[in-house]
Amino acid sequence: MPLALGTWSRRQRHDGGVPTTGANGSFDSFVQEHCTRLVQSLSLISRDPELAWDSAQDAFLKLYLRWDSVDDLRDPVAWLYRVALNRCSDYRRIVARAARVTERLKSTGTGMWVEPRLAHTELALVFGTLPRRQRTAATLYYLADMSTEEVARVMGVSRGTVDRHLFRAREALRSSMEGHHEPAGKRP
Amino acid sequence: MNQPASDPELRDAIRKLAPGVDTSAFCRELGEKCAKKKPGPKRGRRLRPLVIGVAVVVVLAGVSAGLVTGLGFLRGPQPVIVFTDATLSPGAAGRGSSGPVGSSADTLTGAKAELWAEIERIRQGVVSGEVIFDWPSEAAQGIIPSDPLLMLDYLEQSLLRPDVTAYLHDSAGDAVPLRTEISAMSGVRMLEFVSKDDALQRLKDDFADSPEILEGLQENPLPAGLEIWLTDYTQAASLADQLRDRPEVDEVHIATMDYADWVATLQRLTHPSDETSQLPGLETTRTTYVVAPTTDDPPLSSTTTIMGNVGPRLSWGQEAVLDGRTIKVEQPVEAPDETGAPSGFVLVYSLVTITNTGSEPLTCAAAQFGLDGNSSGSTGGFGGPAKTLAGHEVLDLVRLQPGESVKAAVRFCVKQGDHPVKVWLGTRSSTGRIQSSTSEWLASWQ
Repeated sequence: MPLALGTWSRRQRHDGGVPTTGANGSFDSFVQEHCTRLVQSLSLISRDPELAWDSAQDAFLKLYLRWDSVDDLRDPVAWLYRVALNRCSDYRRIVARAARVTERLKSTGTGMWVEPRLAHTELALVFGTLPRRQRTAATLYYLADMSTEEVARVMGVSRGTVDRHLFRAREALRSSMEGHHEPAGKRP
Repeated sequence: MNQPASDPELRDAIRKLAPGVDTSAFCRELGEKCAKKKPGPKRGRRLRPLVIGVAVVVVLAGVSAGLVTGLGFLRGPQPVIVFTDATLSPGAAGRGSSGPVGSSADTLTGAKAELWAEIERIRQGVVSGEVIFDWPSEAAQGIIPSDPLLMLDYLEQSLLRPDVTAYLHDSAGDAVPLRTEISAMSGVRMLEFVSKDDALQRLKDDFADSPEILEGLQENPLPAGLEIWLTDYTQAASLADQLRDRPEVDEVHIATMDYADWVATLQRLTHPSDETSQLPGLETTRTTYVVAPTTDDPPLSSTTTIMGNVGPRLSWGQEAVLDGRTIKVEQPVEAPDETGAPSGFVLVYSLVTITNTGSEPLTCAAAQFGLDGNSSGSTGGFGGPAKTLAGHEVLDLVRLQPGESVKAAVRFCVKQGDHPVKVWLGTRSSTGRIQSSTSEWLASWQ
């Protein structure tokens, strides 16, 4: 769905960074190109699709407001992801969200509430319990299709650190799955 | 479920975990926001440093206050730790920043190591289904994150931060003699010098999403600093006292976290899954069912008498008549031939039937449904490679035109055994956005 908000005046720049622009170079196409992967990535990292949605919206809005000077950004996509991740980590938002959950709990009298999270499969459970930095690195690398260099740029760490996070994430995912995998026939 | 042995397989498996995104709704909502905020001249360039300083303090104080409140609640009358000490202090590591090389978990000692181990134990226990959080009763007070795993993330990050941070007078320059002296001290495991430029860059990173706050800075007001990790963190106060006497040093901060107390707190908030896990209040709530919608929610039709705890509850299979739709949910049953649930848990599914009785298109998603009960989490339609279940289509994200209906399966993961559960129905916003975890709930079946 076109946004009709502006024109991507910045020339295509592929200086080793993340591929950035769409075919026509407009802000619209930039959003269209990146919004799905961004929201999905933030959902996996934060385990909260709504927080992911909000954070992605805020990040795109920030980018829109500075679209005229987007040339100043070395890598707009990395900037976008970084801003969105910071938004996801904003404790004020998390605290505010907890307050809303409270209201629901008070209204229902329910003693336990389990948030909808990506706990559908064994892999999802394991993935959701990875330390945040490992989860972030793995998501950006596997889901957002970034190179380790690009992941490092987004996370603000060295490539070596990203490699370590990825290594540990892989190990955890594989070993945990081995540990809990059960043949279908044995399941009650 | 096949184990992803290779990178491509792992990539595919992870991508299947990602939820669907309604791109049209996303663009529509963004378009509305952008239309209200036309790009204009940068106001920040007219700001003076004093104003900027005030803004920074206010923003950081807000972050700090939230943490203090939330953590204070968890720990009751105990002293409160402010995770943002580092961020509040110029030159210190910022929010979400990675620890420097060497600040790994392998080097933690004493109560720090115990807390790290406790965090890891809980993470692994949650994965295996052996540990259950008692968190929701705490979250019910409304001042801590509703996702306990997020708190583990923050605790983990705090463990990797320096034990002592010394801020230097500008006149001290790079303070090479002092750095050399400290490095030679016994008990100093690592020292990192943070220059004025590095400190400013960290601050910019922290405010990457609000760069206008810092745009007006004419000069770098932040001091250089020394970040010090000790082999024994309990010696931090002693070292801080020594450093305060040095002429190069302006101010010294130490980590004030009571790690042992946090170990006890985490133990208090978790219990093995084989303990009684009957949920307090769950049985009594079988006579209640629906939350009143907020003013942001679509209005309910007059045929739906649901407000607070006084409305009639819905039984399995009973139809809810809501504005523009009818929805019924069948009692969850175990998913045949579905593997992938962790030990002690089983995948179940409910058949849901949704009919668009309104005059506008209706977006329906599995993410609108949640399961409340002795579960490891409700899942809606996230993930899972299977597109059908027991002969039924698995609900993901569908768009119903007026008059159209869909009957599909929504999957959940619940603990094995006989225990009551509820299935809840969430709302979507007026922009068509699917709300999930923080939405109000329109109806429940039990």
